[in-house]
Amino acid sequence: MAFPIAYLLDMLVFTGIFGIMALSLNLEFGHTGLPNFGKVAFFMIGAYTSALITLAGYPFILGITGAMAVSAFFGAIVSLPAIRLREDYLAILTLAFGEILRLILKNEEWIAGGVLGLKGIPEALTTTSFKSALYGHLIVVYIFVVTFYIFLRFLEKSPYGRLLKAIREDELAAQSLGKNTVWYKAQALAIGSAIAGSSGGLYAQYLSYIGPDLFMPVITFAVWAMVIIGGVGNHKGVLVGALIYQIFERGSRIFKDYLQIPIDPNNMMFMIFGLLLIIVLMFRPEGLIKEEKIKLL
Amino acid sequence: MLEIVDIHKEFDGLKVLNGVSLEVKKGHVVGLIGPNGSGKTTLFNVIAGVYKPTGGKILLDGEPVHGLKPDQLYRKGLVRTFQIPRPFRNLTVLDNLLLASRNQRGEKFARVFNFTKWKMQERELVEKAEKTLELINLIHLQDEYAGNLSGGQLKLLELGRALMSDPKILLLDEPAGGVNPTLAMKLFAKIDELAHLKNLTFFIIEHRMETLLNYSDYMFVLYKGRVIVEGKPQEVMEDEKVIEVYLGEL
Ligand SMILES: Nc1ncnc2c1ncn2[C@@H]1O[C@H](COP(=O)(O)OP(=O)(O)OP(=O)(O)O)[C@@H](O)[C@H]1O
Ligand SMILES: [Mg+2]
Repeated sequence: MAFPIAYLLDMLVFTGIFGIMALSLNLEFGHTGLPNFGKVAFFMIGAYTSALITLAGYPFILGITGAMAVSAFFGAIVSLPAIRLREDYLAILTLAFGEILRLILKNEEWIAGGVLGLKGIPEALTTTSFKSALYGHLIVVYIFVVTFYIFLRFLEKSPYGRLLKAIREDELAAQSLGKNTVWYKAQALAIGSAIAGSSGGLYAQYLSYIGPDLFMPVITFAVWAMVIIGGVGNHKGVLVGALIYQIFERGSRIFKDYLQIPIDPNNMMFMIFGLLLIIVLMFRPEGLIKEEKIKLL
Repeated sequence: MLEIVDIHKEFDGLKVLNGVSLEVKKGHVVGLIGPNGSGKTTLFNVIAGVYKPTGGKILLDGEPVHGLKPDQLYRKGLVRTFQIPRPFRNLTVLDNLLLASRNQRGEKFARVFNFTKWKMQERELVEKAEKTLELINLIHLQDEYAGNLSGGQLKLLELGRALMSDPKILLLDEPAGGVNPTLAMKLFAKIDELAHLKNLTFFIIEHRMETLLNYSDYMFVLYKGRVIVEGKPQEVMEDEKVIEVYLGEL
């Protein structure tokens, strides 16, 4: 009976790690209207940065801090040319950035091991048994989930969050009411990327190994799916979206062994999930949990 | 207060403004009228920093401001409304107004967690917003999403946001379009009062010239991207060229 529990714990850890990604996209896209299609890039920057820092012998907390700082820096810098122009350029630019960065890491061995990636990344908590390690990971990951959730809720319930939503609703109107929208969009992407970076750091220490092929563009689309299904603009919703994604992914992995189907079972998950996405967009475009009306006072 | 000197604006060879020059004096309510497509909204967009002029100068209190962005102009005290309303649809009517106010502490990231400070200010701003909403007859809708308002109500919301922003000069693009005539008259009376009591300056686009007759100090008539007539409203109304232009439109 030990196996199902471990399996469940592993699923919850993944839900937490990707839930953090979904929260960060929800700040960027759900609240500020910025279509960041390079989510995986900032996840990857965070994973590599914290892996390199902890492999050099520094503590986990420094690794995560570094991951957040470096991701935030890139989040603001990469998007700067695009957010001054138009939102659709941002989608293309961030998408390309993620792939280019991945290929650089893959081909330039001196940076972080090239194709082979980095091995033996230290865990956040050192534990003795396999199972206590899993609980340890669960606690560490959910400390981050809860912290970011609370942080983002406070942000949403402040004039700052209201301003971000105004940019999403109508940027020219916000500008005409005196808001320096470019500056705020850069901030939203920096904060979002910092959060995504920490998620990458958590991922690296959980797997203890990272390599370029773990950071394919499909991760970006998975995070988008979590946000759309859970509820664009609702932080609780996107966490639920992250859980649903994990259930589907693992469910299809288990069931593929029992099913006789004439297609590659690995693709089946994407097909089912694609279908779910279409159904949600058709019948409940606001997602499972709708954005709430916020009162600041 | 606001001086427009020989402003030109072209869109891909289409000349929309052909050397507009005019002046809006401090504390005045100035009307800008003209038939459809004469370039009124384009002139506002150029003044408000949405478009860069192809040529000419714009001076605000003697300082050149052409080429500045809309948010920079807002900080200099110039605020505009849109002919086609641009509400923040998924925010409440109250939030739409609050967003227009200046120097909000809680809009700085570093101060988001300094709750007591920004909440104190927010309470004052809510009071002010509620007064403005009473003025524009939208107080009963304050917690409604702006996206659920009717066309006329959205026009009022545009005006409400502009009034919340403590401007020096307001550019209103057909503020009474689609608003019922009784309320429209009440609004123009209020505008008149604000201009003369608080020394606010208004530059107002109106399609129908009768509306502004009793409430403006001066009027410009724009036709094919040029000012063809200017003067006191009564004179302008009786000017032959103006009558011709407006008849020609029919
Ligand atoms: N962004 C643009 N690109 C190309 N042409 C434009 C643009 N904006 C305005 N125009 C053109 O400029 C001309 C003047 O338009 P404008 O909206 O300024 O007129 P208006 O006087 O405000 O008319 P109305 O009374 O209908 O509001 C029109 O022929 C319009 O098609
Ligand atoms: Mg117009």
